[in-house]
Amino acid sequence: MLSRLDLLFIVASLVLMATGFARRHKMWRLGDPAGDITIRSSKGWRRLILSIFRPRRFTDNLYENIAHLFIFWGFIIPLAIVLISQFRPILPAWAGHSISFLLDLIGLLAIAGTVMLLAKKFLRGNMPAGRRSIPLWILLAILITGFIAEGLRLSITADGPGNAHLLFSPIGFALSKLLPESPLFFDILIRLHFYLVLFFIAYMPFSVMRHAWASLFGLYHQENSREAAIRPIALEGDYFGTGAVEDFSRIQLMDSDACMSCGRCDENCPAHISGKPLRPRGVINEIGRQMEAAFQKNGAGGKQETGLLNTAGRIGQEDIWSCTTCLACVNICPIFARHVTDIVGLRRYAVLMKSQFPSEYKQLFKHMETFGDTFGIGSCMREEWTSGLNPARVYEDNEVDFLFWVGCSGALYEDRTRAKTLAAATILKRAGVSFGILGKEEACCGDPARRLGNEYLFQRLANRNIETLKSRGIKKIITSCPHCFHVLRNEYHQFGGDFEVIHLTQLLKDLFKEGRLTITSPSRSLLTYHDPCYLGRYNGIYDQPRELLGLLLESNVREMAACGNNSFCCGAGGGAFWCGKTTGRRIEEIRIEQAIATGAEGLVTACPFCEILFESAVRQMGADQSFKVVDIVQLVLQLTESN
Amino acid sequence: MRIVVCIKQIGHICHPIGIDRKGGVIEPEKMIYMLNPYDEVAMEEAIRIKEKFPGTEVIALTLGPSRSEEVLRYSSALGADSMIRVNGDPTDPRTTATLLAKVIADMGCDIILCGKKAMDTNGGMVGSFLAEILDIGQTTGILKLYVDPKKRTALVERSIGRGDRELIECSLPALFTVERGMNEPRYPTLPHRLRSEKQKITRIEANSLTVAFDTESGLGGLPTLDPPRPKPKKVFTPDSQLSASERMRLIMSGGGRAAKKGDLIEGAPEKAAEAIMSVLIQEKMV
Repeated sequence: MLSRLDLLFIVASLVLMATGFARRHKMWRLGDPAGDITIRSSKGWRRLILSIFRPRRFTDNLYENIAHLFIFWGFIIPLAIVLISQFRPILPAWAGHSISFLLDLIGLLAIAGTVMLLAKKFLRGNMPAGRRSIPLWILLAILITGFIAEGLRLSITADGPGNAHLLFSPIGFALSKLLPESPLFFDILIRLHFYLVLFFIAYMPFSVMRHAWASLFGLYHQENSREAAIRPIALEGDYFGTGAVEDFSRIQLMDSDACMSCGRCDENCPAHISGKPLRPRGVINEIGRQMEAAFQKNGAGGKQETGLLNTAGRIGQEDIWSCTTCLACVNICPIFARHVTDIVGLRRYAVLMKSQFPSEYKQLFKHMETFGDTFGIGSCMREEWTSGLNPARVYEDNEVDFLFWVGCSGALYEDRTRAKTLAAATILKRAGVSFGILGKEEACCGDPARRLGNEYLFQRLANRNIETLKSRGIKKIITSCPHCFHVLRNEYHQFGGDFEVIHLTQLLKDLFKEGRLTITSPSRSLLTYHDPCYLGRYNGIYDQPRELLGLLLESNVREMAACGNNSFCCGAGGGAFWCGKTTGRRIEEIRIEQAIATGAEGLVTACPFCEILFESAVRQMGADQSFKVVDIVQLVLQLTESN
Repeated sequence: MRIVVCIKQIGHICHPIGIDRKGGVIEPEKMIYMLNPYDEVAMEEAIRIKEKFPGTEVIALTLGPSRSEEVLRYSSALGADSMIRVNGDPTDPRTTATLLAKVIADMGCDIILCGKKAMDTNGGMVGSFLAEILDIGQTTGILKLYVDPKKRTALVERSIGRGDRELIECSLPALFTVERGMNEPRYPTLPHRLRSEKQKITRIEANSLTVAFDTESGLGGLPTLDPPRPKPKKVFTPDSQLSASERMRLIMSGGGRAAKKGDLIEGAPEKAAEAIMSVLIQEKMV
């Protein structure tokens, strides 16, 4: 039974916890409410509850996820049982027995989970700032004292009549054999157990255990790709981007509290793996540190700029520029943190306010601004690839079902990419698809500008394109470039451009299904498929290209270890394609090594940028004789015949 | 202190000029224009001076049709305080310089910065004419500029070839034309760009400027001297009797003349040095 002192302690611990969390909430409120995400509450609750019972990508980190599962339920269930038992509910014997058995089992699993996590930290030497493992040690102490107290209790009461119930507490029973019949010892241990629990609860907001509370908000506010698209900023006023804590949205600040520093983002970040200075976790953690600093400086009111990118900050200039926006970190993050949004915000500040960015991008920006394409070639060359095919031009008032959005790389980059565009158009003609091109009226979709933080340039290009598309009455767009695909599909609607956008692989698959394209004979090559980030993780298109390949190939696709939503970036995204220099290894070479390791003879991809980088990587590595890089469109062209 | 930067909009140097397939005429709508890169450097230098000495006023000045307001806006986005466009077509350097000189003389200034040359005509004369007409000192192709507003002097560094630099001190007002390597022009920040979009451009009609021209040469400007015809180059034709690979080799080697054979001296560094020395003595080169 609880004494008055105990009640006092309980209240004190709860008050401490509540004030601690209230303080964190105040910190989050430093953020900009305008940047907040609005999610329908029914959707939010559904997503929250679903993710509690079905953690994200459970099997991809089986070890940690199982350990976490044990600890999570090992904390919640016994706590609930103890709370309920305070009201002394009257239960039938079988229920009491099964509950006591359940408690023993869960306690054991929770110890296992705690030990698993501690062991991992020790084995990996992965103990950043030491303090992060304190909650784990407390948890372990709680569990062990709990079992010992149980054993003592049983050893005291064991002599009484009716010992059958002891079998339902096997661990307590086993321990009771080893422990003395000492009521004093029992008293001490049960108090210790109790106070440790109270301390743990009070300590939560002051340690990484605050993630337990904050991540609930993260899970509630999780977004799908269309919602998670980078948000536009109004091009008015004299301040843009996120240069200070106050410029992040409240949800973004909350992310830094929800982060447990599990490090899965770092483990999956291609930039980090290839030896570049970027650490997505570092970005999130640094935002948290800056938030605390800003909060201590001025309480929860009045804006005070804390330079995140200045020399005092720990997010270096090179860090944010080595991100390829591949979304691997966001996609693996168990609490749905928004690393890429954070990085783009920091880039926006660097570009729009400070004009500080790698000098290579200046040329890119100027090209996009003056020529309307990323390579500085000019719109009058955008129809050069059509040689002999003569597709319908939309500006000549041709009525077409689809607009074929060619994109800068497809129309301009080099002969090889132009040949691919021609291949795509030839296939469409063969299948009798009614399509047209914008030709000289097309401009860059603006993707690199947006990822690089040059929102001004992006909006200029986006508005120009939307105006063209609308004035030509375009409803449906097909494109072969995943970057254009993502921007046209998920970002143009922010500026009033709502189009139905289809990736070419989706259309081709349907054309085969409808019998409008047929294969002469499937290819015998053993190929592996690389998921482009902007097709896969950004838009969830994993299966359609594989189905298409299933039709084209005799044997199955040899999957790489990192495929599907776990795919490894080619290194081109986020504008990195236009920045030649690189620290550490080249990302595309790492990917090619992974591809070669499958034993495949070649790699198929569905993104022009992936293909360009892979092709050069294969040549660099001297593997171009034994390993080939093919675009899925060219494969289709080779294997089909006109009907 | 007031700095006037003379800028020019030119056809983009990297762009196909959009020649009409039928007539071989340049289609103006296919043209893409840019700010002359030398002028961008001059503008950047002016802004750096402004940042160093607050209170400095930077004025962007151009002579051109209305489309050239684009480059004025760009230089304003870079940081120029005001913009002036003289409406007219840049025909010849002297006319241009005369018109610009009139505008500058009317408002007065301490430093005039121009690009060394415009990358379309590659003339490089406007700056010099301008200084002559205004009767102020000039230094062309400068690489560094240190201004002392108190003493009203400037110290400039210019390249005189072979890696040598020349240091010149002069009193202000003066005109400098800048070399491209002087600095790396910045990329405009968004607040500056938005400000530049709202800023007013002062427009002056070329006809309205009362300009006294030298009657001898007149407004018609300078006589253009065509460059001499280039010397015809002998193209080697290989003997058609030879095999294809042999002909290719001859063409590639540029006429089949046996390439001068060099002597390769091998051995330990000391011995090799001795051998080289003996060759040099033998050839009477030392």
